[in-house]
Amino acid sequence: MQDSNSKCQQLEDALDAYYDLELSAEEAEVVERHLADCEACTARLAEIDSVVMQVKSIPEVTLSRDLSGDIEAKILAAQAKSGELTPSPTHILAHTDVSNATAASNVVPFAPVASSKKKYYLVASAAAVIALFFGLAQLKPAPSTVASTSQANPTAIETVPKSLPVIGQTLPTSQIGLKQSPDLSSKLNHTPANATTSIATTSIATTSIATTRPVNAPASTHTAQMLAATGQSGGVKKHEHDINQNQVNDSEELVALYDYENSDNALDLGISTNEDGLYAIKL
Amino acid sequence: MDLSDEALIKKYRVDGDMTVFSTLVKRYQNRVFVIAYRLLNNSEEAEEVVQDTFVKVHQNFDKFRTENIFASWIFRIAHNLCMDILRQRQRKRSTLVVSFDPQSTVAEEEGDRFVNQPLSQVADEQPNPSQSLDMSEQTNMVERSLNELPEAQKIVLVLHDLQGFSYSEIAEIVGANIGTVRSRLHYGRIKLKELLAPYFSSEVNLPATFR
Repeated sequence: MQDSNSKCQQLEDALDAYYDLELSAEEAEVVERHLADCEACTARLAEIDSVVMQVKSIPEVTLSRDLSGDIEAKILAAQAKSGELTPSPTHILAHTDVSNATAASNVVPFAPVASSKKKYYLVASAAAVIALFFGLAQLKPAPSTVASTSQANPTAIETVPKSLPVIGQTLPTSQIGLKQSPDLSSKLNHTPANATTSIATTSIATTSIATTRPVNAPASTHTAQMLAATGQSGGVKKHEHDINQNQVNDSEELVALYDYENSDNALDLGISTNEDGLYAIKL
Repeated sequence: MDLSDEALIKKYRVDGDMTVFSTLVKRYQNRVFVIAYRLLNNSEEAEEVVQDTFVKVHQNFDKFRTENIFASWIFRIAHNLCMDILRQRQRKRSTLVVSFDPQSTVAEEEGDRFVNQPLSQVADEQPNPSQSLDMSEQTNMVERSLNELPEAQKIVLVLHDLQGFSYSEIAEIVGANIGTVRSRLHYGRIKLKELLAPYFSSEVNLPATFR
């Protein structure tokens, strides 16, 4: 019995090979002689057959389509890529698309949108503070610039429509610093000197804004027009001189200023303050 | 009359005609697909393996020695590609952590059934062994059990019992010696029998030749 068990162990994996007809003639004969005397190994052989039959019962899977065309295309593409063949126009096109896509994917935003908004506010605040500083600095030595345009040509305010950027176009920038238009205008009526100061502030602020933007940028169009209307930045001193000569107590001019401040043009520069008095520039 | 593999190979080497190569592709693509599908259990990946296999065959066509069996060479390339994919899956699986949060309802990852699923939600999909199985259920059970085998045993079983390759051909395909193939086949069948035992009657019909 023990001899039989040891023989069974020896032939354990040979039974599979015997079943699969993978044994040599001599090996197969040894197995057959053992099987004639061993019921356990005969049962084991039957189990092998059962398992193999179960495996063979698994339904066949087949390829859903002929892949030879795809394979040929892949081979040709690989050859074209390695320079073996001249790439076809479609290959070139495909390559271009890929490179464009890669280039596009390499483009990253300059800054996150959320933080850029904060930066706008900061820049606006800084610009307004600088404008105020220079405006105050110029307050004592000389009244400022813009109103002089109208003084040089007293009929200008009467004849020029609201939309034209003569005096009116510079005033909105004064609102950048001072914001509230009707009150300011009423103050201007009573204190012309203050009014001219604010206008001066405006012109400087405008200049500084213009330098921070490209000239041809859409948002800066008004600024460029204002500069043109006020004789450009080089003409600032001349305007200041004119303002010194001509008082702003000209009622018609003040009415025009008041009208302009109340017009929509005042917002065109994209500079405003919120209710907390913080300055913002639309870029 | 269909030309033999050797004749087609010789013809392609002389002419470089892609239609000749396509004939070889058409001859073997389905068998490559079956093996890849059985190993990967995913038809899309199996199709990719078929394509990549023949691209590699073409790339290395000069290296093929005509004294070798062309079919074995193709299936060896396919087998290696399948093994690469299985290794990638293994690496991916080893880096994933199963959540222990019973409230978690995170969607399962593609390709991995239980990835990111809490343990409480991992259901035992095995049917009750006491349930009687109809024919389609039986074959499903066999397929599932086959997929539970270790990869090395499964590929040998698929190549031999489903595809009819000889031990020596399998040895060449999987890159092992014949003794290893024989051993893997033996233990694979034992394991499969154990897996199927709860679902099938222990009675076996002994073929007449073995009585």
